Amino acid sequence: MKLSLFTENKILKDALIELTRPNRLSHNPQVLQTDHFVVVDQDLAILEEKLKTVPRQRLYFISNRSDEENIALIQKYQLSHLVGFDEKNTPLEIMQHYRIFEAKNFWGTAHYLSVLPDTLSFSESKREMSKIPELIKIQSWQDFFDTPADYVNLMANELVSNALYNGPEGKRQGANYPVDRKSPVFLKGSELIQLKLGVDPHAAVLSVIDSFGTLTKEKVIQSLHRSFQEKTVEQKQGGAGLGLYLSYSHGHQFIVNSKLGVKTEVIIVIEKNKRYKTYKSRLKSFHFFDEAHAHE
Amino acid sequence: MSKLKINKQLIDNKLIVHLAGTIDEDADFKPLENLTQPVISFDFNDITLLNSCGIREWIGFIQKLPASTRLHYQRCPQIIIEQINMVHGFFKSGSQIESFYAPYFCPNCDKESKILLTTEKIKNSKAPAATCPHCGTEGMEFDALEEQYFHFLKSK
Repeated sequence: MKLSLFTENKILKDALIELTRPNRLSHNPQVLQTDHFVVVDQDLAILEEKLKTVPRQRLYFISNRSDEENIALIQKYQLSHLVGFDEKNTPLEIMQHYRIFEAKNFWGTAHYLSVLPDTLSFSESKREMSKIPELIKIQSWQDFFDTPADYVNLMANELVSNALYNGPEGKRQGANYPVDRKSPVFLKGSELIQLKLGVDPHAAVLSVIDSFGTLTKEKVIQSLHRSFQEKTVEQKQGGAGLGLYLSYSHGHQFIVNSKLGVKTEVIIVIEKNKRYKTYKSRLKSFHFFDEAHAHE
Repeated sequence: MSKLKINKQLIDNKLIVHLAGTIDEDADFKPLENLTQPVISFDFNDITLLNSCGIREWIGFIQKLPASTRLHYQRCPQIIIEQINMVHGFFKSGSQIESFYAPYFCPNCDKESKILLTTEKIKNSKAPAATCPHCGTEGMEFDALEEQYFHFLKSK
């Protein structure tokens, strides 16, 4: 697969050249000529130029702007991939995604996690949420700063709630949506929400997958943009409108995989850091994979 | 069913409210309605989760308290400070943060500690010095971005 990199950053360039050396990756010669993976580092003029010809699904923009500015850029250009620059982790992140395109399958945690995750299933909204802290407790948080479990607990709670309450929206005849979050919801047999959590030597990875597929790229970007702009709860029926914002803000990579009307998966990657300060200084990355555009 | 436990304690004319557990969409603040004490101090030490719907419930609750009531916040855990910094409205106008936890790192024993700070010790968004509770080393490093972490002190 051909990788086009537009960067002035020698460290990034060297790291990616090294990582993409042919002998380090397996290539399918048949796709070498057709597939194209484009990475633009910082330069908005080049980004705008590339947006004219490269599908957003295969266009990666690396940015060292603030998270707030990056969300504005994602909104302005409707980007599918924005990588928050981090000297240590950006080359690895780009490579993870390069391999995703090689594999032509973006679902699941295997691209980001070297171990099998533990799994929980949810079919109702009230009693089962107490299982989340138990799952978090059995993970090995060695070499992490002191409180990643608190953040994982919060993100898991927000994402599972969203999946349980917002997922079935539009799929239930006669139901009044959005549903008040104080009221319990019950899913049917095949509609389980699945949470996966694992920790390996490099990261903790959380995944929440539903069987509804109602979370579109437009909804995600709109929600993040509103939350970053206003930083307020929404006084409306349903959720407070901050779940995606909090999940985005407390992770390092925020990834949404979507098959419209079928399933959605939200994955949060937290890179391993001993220091809380390092955890907080990392600029966040945004990725949206749409099954409908997977083979463009 | 609410997973929030509330315990009230009246000392002199000051009401101390201990909150424990989860502040979420089911948080029930009814036991705290119709309070008339001029000062209410909320102790957040044992709060384990404050989610986005919980923030909305909290904001709704404090907005119903009499305008003259002064709210104090004490022993706020780090995760709550983060939420407060990220979402507006958690503080009622004129409220006061008495104390909160902040992360420090000891380069000697390589351990992180949550140190309880009082607000008056923070000058110009600079973290005060702290001693390692594990090995006694003085001069632990503040382990957050000061401007970002102490942002809530400006916005209260």
